[in-house]
Amino acid sequence: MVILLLLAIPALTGSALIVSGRSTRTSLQGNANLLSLGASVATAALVVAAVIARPAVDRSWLPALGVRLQFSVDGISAPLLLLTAALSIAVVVHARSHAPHGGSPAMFYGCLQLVEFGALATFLSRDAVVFFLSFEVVLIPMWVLIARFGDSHDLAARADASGRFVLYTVFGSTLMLVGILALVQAAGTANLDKLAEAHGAGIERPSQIIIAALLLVGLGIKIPMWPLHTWLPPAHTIAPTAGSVLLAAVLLKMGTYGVVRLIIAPLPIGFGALAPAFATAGVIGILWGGLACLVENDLKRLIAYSSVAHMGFVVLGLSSGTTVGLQAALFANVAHGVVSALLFFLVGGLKERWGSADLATARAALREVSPRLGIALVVGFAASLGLPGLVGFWGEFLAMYSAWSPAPDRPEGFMRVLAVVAVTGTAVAAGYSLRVLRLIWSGDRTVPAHEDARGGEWSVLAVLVAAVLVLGIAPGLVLNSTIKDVAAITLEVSR
Amino acid sequence: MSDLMSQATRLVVLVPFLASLLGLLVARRRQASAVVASTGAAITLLASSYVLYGVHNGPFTPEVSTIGALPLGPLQMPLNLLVDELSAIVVFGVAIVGLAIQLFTTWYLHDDDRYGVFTGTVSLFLAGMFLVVLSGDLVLTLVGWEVMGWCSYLLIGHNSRKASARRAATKAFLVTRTADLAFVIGLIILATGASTTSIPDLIEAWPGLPGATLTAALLCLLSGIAGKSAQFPFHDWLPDAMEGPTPASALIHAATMVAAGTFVLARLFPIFVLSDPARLVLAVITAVTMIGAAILAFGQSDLKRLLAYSTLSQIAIMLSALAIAPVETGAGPAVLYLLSHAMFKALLFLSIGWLSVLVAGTAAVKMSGGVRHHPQLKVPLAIGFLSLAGVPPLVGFVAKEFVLGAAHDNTSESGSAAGWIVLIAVGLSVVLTAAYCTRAWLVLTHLTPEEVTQEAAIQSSGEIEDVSLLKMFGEPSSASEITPHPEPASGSTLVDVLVEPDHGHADIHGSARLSVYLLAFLSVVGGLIIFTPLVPVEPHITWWLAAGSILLILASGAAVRSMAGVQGSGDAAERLGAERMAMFDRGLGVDGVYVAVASRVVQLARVVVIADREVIDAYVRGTVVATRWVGTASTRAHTSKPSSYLVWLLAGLLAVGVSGVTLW
Repeated sequence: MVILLLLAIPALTGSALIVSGRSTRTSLQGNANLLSLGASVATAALVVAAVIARPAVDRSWLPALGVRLQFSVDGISAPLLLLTAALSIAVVVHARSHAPHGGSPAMFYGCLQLVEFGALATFLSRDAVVFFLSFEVVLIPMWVLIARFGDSHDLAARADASGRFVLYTVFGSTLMLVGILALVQAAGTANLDKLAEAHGAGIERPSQIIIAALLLVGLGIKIPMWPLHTWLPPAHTIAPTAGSVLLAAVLLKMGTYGVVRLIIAPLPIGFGALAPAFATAGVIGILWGGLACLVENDLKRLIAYSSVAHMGFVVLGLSSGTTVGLQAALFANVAHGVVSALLFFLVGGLKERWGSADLATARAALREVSPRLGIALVVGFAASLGLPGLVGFWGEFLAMYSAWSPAPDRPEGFMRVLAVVAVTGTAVAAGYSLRVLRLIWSGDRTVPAHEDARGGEWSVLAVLVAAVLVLGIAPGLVLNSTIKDVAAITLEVSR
Repeated sequence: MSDLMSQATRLVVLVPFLASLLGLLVARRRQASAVVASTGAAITLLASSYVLYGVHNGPFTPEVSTIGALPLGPLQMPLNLLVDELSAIVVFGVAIVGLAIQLFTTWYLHDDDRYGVFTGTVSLFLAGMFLVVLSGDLVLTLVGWEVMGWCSYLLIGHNSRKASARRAATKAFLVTRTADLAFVIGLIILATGASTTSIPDLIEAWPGLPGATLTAALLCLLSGIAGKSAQFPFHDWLPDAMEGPTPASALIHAATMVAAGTFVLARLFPIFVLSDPARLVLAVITAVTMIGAAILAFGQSDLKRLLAYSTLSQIAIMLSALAIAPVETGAGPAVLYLLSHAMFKALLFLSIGWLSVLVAGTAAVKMSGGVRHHPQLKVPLAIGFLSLAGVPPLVGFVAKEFVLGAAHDNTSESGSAAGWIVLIAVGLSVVLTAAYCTRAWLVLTHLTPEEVTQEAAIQSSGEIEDVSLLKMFGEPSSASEITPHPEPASGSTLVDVLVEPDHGHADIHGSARLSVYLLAFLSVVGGLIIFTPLVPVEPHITWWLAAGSILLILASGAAVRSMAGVQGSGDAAERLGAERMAMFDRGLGVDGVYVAVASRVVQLARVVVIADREVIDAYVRGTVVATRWVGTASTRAHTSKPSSYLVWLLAGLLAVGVSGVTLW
């Protein structure tokens, strides 16, 4: 009941807002933000209730296909559900004072609600087909956010970025759909729990490898994994702040979550065979993204590339096949959600103030004219470079550890080489983080002055800074939630 | 007792951390942030005194839990603190220096508009150091280690309006972070072998594991330690770090970041001694740094940079003690040296900082004769330099004798190459240290011939300022007298860079003065600690080594004295010639090597960006082009002419017919 309600609220609010976007009733237009805020808060409360009570829903939906509406919460999805719900509130609060231009507010908030609905349904779903459908629900509202509410300085670039986003990811979805259907066909069930419990029993090694490969490429596009990442930088550059935040903090997470649910748990042998290649792509992404950040001059693109690098650590952890690695990946997933949300809120705000996100232009130093934005930026980049004690550290460190001591069926020497390369990536991350701080945070310029963060913007930033600190100091909050289900996947004995 | 001990141990890390959070929240109100920082440091000192008392009196639990073990399947990560004799005394020493620096900063940065941020960062820095010292888990060590690194970035770059400070801060962090890459790998190897990150557990496990792997892990750790402790070849960030305000330098140099590596190795000493190759590598690295840095120190045209190079050399001595100490001697001498260096180096930095306010600069030419004009600094500076040079009975002497003694024991027992390298290098460094200390002292006390005459007149009239101890601890000056001094002004040449504008004779706070004299007092009597059970060393000095080193100091001092002469600035280093001094000031151009490495990385980054656009994205764009091409082609096929469709229809029928016939 709780689950159906928490899905119904954003779905209905979103649809209502979008439909009314066509009408001319101004009352709803004006109150779109308030309505949306109320819906997000109510949804978040229900998510918290669902995470605590762990209810489950199981209804027949499409009997002909054997598809059932199965939703439930477990340790792996709980942190992501909370993250999604919290950030949905954050984007609405932030948009109160920083509403994007380009369309009606009702349309904007409606799309945000639909994205939230799709993401929550993805994380809640226990049926592979429903998982896929929820996954796809997100794409169109996100496309609208980018294509209608995105940066309108260069319309051709905007059309290219939004088109590229939707076509590229739909291509990934197609592969994923084929993979899911093959998986369901081979295993005889679409139930993710049953798939996980079977640990791939009954599926031959060659079919496991083929299905895993299809799914990996499909989900690899969403993550995005090198070399399938080139849709991400333009999408982030163009998207409005809310879009960037949800894209980085929620949509990318759905990709890695899918890898755990659809590949690692049900197809351990197939994934094991592909893991070295998957890990290699991840590690190349770490260096590739980091190096690109060293010379990238558009701040939003820079953070997009840093996302590629961070997701590389998630990929590395996933590939190791150990409890430590999965724990690392799931933690890094949440960590990246928090850090990238913080950075995109900041950079979105800066772009609005500066008129562009170009780093080559001389600006007033944030430390001098807007200390609040300054401190949030320092914390954000410190977390981004994986500073121990902040949220970014645990996932990266544990991922490197897991690559150094991978599961017995992984090539140990090769994985250790990857671990060393990944470590090098942390120095590159330090390089680009300090580069950005040196360019925009420190300095002696005080013109052109811009105003500091206030009101809604500041409270969103402050909460995210606090989250970076709290999760960095108490990583057990997430790790303790995920351990039970992770151990069930890896079948490793705890000491 | 036991429970109280655990609480006190937690407080030592927690209080400075909370003080830092609170301090940053109230950073805009300087009075409040000063109170928070000083109170935090004082409570920390109390807690650490209790810990020190506790470890020597009665039973206690050495392992103290923190945030609870992390659930990681087969990998144990208990995240415990570890309190024992070794960590208790070091924590106590760091707490003293920390309090002294916080008190001094309230005066030194009195009119700095970012005092609150600075002092909050100092608290965080101290929390990081306490965490490293008390850590019983490799991961906690890494957390404290990197937190210090990040704080050093913030502190060195405190004056972020100045380009040179920004550069120095970035350089410090990037160099140490690069060195830490191997450190992280080393920690991972250690943890992998023992399936735990708990230090006591892995010390137990590693003796039974392959020696080659252990050596690899330790060599990796040495890289990170060389980075943070500014040892060759990662040393060049430290002299540049002088861009930070003097209290930051005192903090980084004396008791925290650069000394942390010594403690980490001391903590891992039981497994470090298992690997002779690692010990030999450490001996070579430290010998090179010890002598090279001492020579560079002699030729610095800026006294603050002289102190920076002396830190490199001194830390090398500290670490070398671990390279050669026999197993039964343990890490005692190194830890004793750490404590001793913490006291006298903090004293020297704070005193030089104090003097720099009075004479408006830290360049040797500015400071020339400084002590003559400001005699209240004569005693602290004299104690500091004498202790640095290792003159008995000051703390520096005692500590150095223990290192020499350990090296001697090593050579006489096992006669390893490491032992001889360290013994000779420390012997040489005694001479060199005495030389640069004498040089600095002669510069500080130099009088031009005219001043010699004036001095005589003043002394006969008895107007010289009284520097008795009573006066030293005298009442605080009233607020109106305080003319605090600002940050160094910008400048182009190295000498100018560190010159700070003249603000007249700023009078010092009572508490800041107190902190300087407290450190001076400890530098004098600190050596007595060897007769207490507080430091794990045998109170035993090899007398002929001691006598030999005293002779070397005297000879070296006399030689420098004769080099200096009485003419000019009284600076013995001027005999080196201006060109050589400029070269010394540049640190022999090591910076250029770092820049070259960095520019290579940036070049690679440019290649990556081009490849990203022209190769990887080309496929994506290629799909668009291909799709469009297919679309165009199929549009062409749809000509809207019935005749062409009829042709297709006929062709289709034909195909069906042919296939039907053939497949039949």
